Amino acid sequence: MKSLEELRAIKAQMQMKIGIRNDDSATAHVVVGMATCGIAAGARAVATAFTNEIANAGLNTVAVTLSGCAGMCALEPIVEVTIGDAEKVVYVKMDAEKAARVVKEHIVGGNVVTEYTIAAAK
Amino acid sequence: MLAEIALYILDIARNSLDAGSTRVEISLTVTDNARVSFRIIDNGCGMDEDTLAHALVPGFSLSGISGRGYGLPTLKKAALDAFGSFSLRSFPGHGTCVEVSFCMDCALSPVLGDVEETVRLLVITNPGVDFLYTRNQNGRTASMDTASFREILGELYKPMQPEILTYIQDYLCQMRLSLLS
Repeated sequence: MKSLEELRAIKAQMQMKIGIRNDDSATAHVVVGMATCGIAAGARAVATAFTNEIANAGLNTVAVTLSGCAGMCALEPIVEVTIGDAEKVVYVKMDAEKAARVVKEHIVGGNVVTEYTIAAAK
Repeated sequence: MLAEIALYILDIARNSLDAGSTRVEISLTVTDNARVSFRIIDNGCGMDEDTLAHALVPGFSLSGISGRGYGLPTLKKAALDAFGSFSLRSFPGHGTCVEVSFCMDCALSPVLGDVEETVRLLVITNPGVDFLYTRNQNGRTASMDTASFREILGELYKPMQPEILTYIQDYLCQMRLSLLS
């Protein structure tokens, strides 16, 4: 079993590592709808995909959180992406594959994936 | 209806978080692959008598946003349809306890699904909340309490940081393996 001793060693490593900032500011926010409607539409896989892609890309300052129902249940899974001071982008009918593309092109690359946005869905 | 019991756990834990909980305890018991029960206890704001009386009415929600208010009644129906049980207790200012069981042999029962994935997601997207996850299976018990991680790491408890993320994932995976018969 994983030991707490191992966690103490990780703590020591982290403290030595240059670049671990102690402040809590995130540079980007990914909010995944996770109410009953979102869960039923497959949002857990979308959230998991975002966390995995973000971790794999080494993006230490991107925060992923879960939110409630936005009142647009037919468009779930819904993900809001806000980078810095930019206006939030609402992605709808998301899946794990689309999540990977959004991380790569929007969060890393800076280009909104327009075809997945709510504007494109209407 | 949700496809996995693990997804119902996610839904109820999300209610706990909406209620302002700082600690959520999820306990899962799997008996002979025939019966699954889970209990979720939180320290959120709880519900007064009036709210509690409406909590199982489909569509009732305190949020005022249309589309909300189906989690609890859907779960209760799913459990009873699977010859299981459902109980909801809440105390204003103290928290809420949801206790559910499913008879897995029943045709209408959802599958158990990936509970560890549900717990992992809850933990890493809520760094300010402590989760105690206990799983009882095959006569064994294993648990993970993020409070013990927070005690060691202090301000460094940032579960999305790669080293901690990997630790938590490995922890859950080993928990699961230790319970196999």
